[in-house]
Amino acid sequence: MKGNILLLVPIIFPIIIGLVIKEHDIRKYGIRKIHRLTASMPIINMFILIGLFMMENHSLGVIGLNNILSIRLYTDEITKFFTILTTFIWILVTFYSFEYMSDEKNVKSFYMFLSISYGLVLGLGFAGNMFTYYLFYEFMTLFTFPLVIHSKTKDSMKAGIKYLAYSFSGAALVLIGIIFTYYHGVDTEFRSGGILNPDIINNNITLIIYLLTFIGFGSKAGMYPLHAWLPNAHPVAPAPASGILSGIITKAGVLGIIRFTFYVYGANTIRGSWVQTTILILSIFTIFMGSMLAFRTKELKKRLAFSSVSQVSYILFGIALLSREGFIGALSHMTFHAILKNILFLGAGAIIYKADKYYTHELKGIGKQMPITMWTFTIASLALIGIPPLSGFISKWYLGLGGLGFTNYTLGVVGVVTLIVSALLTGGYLIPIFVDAFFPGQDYNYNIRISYEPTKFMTIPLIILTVVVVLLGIFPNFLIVLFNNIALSIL
Amino acid sequence: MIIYLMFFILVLSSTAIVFKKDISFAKLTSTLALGLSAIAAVFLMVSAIREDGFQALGPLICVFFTLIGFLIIWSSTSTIDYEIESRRIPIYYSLILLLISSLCGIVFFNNILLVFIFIELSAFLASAIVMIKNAQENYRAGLKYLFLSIFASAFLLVGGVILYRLAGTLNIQEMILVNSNINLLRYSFIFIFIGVALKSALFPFHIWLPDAHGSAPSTSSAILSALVIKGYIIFFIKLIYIGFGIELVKDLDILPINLVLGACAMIYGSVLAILQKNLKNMIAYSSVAQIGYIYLGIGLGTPLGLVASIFHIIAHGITKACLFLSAGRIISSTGCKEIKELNGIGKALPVTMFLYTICGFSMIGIPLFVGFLSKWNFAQAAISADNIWLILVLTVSSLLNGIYYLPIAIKAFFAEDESKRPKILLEPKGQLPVTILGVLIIITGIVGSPLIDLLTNIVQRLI
Repeated sequence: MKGNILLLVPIIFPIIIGLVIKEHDIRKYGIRKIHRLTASMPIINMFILIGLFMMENHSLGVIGLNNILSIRLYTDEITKFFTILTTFIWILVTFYSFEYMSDEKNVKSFYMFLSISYGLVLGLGFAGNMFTYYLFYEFMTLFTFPLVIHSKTKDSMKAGIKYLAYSFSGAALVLIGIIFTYYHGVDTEFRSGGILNPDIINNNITLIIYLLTFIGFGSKAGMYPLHAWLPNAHPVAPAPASGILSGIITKAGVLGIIRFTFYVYGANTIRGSWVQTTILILSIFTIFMGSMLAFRTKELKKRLAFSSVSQVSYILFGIALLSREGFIGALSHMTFHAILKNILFLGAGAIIYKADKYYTHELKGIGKQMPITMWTFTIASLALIGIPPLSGFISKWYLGLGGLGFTNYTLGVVGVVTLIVSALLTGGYLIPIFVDAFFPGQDYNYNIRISYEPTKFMTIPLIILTVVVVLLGIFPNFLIVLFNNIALSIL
Repeated sequence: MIIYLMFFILVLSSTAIVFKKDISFAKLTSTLALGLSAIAAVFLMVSAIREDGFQALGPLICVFFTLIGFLIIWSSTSTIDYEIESRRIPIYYSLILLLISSLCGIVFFNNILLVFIFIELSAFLASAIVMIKNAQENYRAGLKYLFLSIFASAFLLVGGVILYRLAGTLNIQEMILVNSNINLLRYSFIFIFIGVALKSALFPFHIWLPDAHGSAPSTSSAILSALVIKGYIIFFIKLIYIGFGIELVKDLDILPINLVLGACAMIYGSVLAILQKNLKNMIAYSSVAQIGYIYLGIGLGTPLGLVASIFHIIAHGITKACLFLSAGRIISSTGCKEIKELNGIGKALPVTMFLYTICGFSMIGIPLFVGFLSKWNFAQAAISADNIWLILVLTVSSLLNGIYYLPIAIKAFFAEDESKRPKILLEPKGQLPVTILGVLIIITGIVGSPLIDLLTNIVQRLI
């Protein structure tokens, strides 16, 4: 082990807590202790992370499997951004889950896998080379799988297996990319600007391998053609897990693409090639397709899942532009979508938990019954559509700027038009929900109103998330400066 | 000298077991004998490495054979009573000891005639440990195996005779074949190749393997899959690199056949494994695929490919032994043989199913398990030999592995138990050796570099 051994702490700590939870005897000590453990863990971890990031950037070589494969951790701006974002959301989702999971069976295993997954996701942020990333990526798939199938119904089993199948296929494609870059790289560690050997940069095989890897990571991010697991897996999971899956786990694919594009291949290898056109077309197509499918879906959580398909591809579109504006747009959309999609999924979960309603047409008047939940839902919807001054507007603004500045003018304009159309569709599938919820219409009987408002465990996380996302929308400057710095360092 | 001591230990204890005819004595003696010979093999390897590099391949594999054999036999002591009749147990152990000593002979000696005798011996012993179970299907599978083995031996004999005519010597170290008739040499190589391929179940010569490995007692399956087929391959490698010399073999244009057949086996074996309904048959077909990996590495004809192959021989040996032993523990404690009966079994047999899952991960090639390193070696070897399409085959094959290994583990742990299985309250005892195998999978997966360095060292001196 060479380097700062403290880097292991934030990754190992949640995993140990997960194992402790596994050994915990619920019958003897009750569920409360598990709650305390799972809730305090990400909070403590937040302090550990902040402490780590106060120091200068550093790295740690953990162990070498053979002469070139080694597990290596390091920190840079992207690590800080990703791990802090993850931890922030994780803390709130954990608190939310206490209420939501109180009715479910096998809570212990849920919290165990939740804690371990958290450690593994942080590992993704800290990964210092592609192999380490792949390691955490595979294990994250394995440990989030039990969250998907938590209810153990036939449907969830099927969805879970589909999730595994798509994830492993994607990971296999990623592995091809890793094998290739490890053989043809001058180095194995992430380095801004890429590590490929200059001899093979202008080579069609290099580009094909990049495309395969992009599609491989795209499977996690829900990008066409490996998106089909997402609308099955996200709805069947318990709401906290859906939030995590849509908000964070899809971003693991995005982070992989960022690392692979800018830190392994280097933007210049891809820029202007047919591959860039292909991935732009794929992401534009996914943006449109996802919105369209979401628009046609009646089941609320499934609609939100399709919405994720579309929204995460906004991020991929921004990355594929390989420009400063595009990158800023991508990272800010990554932040906002992570938070917004969590608000939406947790809100939908609250509706399911309290009112037992699954379909959008059942939600008439629900705003009267659970005002706090639906207000946060409304604000998040408006932000996701991109109505200024809410947060989604900022990211879409930068994405639009990037699209218009793209060298292939036609494609850029097509992209921007798709963004606008998709924003309209987003409005089309989100606005009716809260409009119906607050204005149920003539035939709604105001007298039989029962309050469905969940307890504070659920509402306070929703409120905090909403407040944060609104504030970020109004004062986005420090984020933009941060993303701009990252963009300048890698482009 | 040490090798003779090893043989002495093994043969002596095997004879003693036959005469004593006592079950517990047989179990104890055979475990001890294999343990001792494993220690002897370590000494053998250390001295061989110190003396001369390329001679270390045989001793290294001897260590692997005796060590894995030791763990398999140790594990069998707690499950064998459920699988074969008690009056046959002593003879079974003595057969296994003889089989392992003949395998060590195959990989250790350099004299073709001697190796041939050991190969014949191992063929009879191997089919005997298939037929030891008193059932119709075992007799059929064992006879099929025996028949094809003898058939293969005939090929080996013809090839060996031609080789002797050309080289004038039986010792593969002393063969000088550069100036001999290339056509005859090609015939000789093809004959030997077919013989070895038949014996080691390379696609399309694998027809005997699923029957034999699927129906045999799990201990036998573990030994057959993890050790026996590997012995012939090591002999083949020695013949290519020491006897013929790799440059000459490359001139014969036969290595690409290895490569293509290996690649076909990887896909074909996995696809057939997916179709199986019986747990052990599935694992047996998976062996067909894994043998494909090994031949693929040999077929690349590069040092990296050879290192990958030998590493895979060891990696697959550990994993497959662990898999078959776990399957054996499932069968002997629940009586379930079909895959669909295994839903929810993870609650009853947590340790066994956990080990099965580890093996599955290793087979799929999840990092930190030995299968990943193996796959990585193959991929690097393929890419350095400019055969980038092989990476696709590797990826597809490992995905296919995932399709048949993972669902069993998932359903064992997460599915509801619907079958009317007799309830098992406790896991059967004697899981320590299987656990050691599971730990070995992880240890070699994390710190595989010393082994790979050693193999690289040996291979470099071979060439």
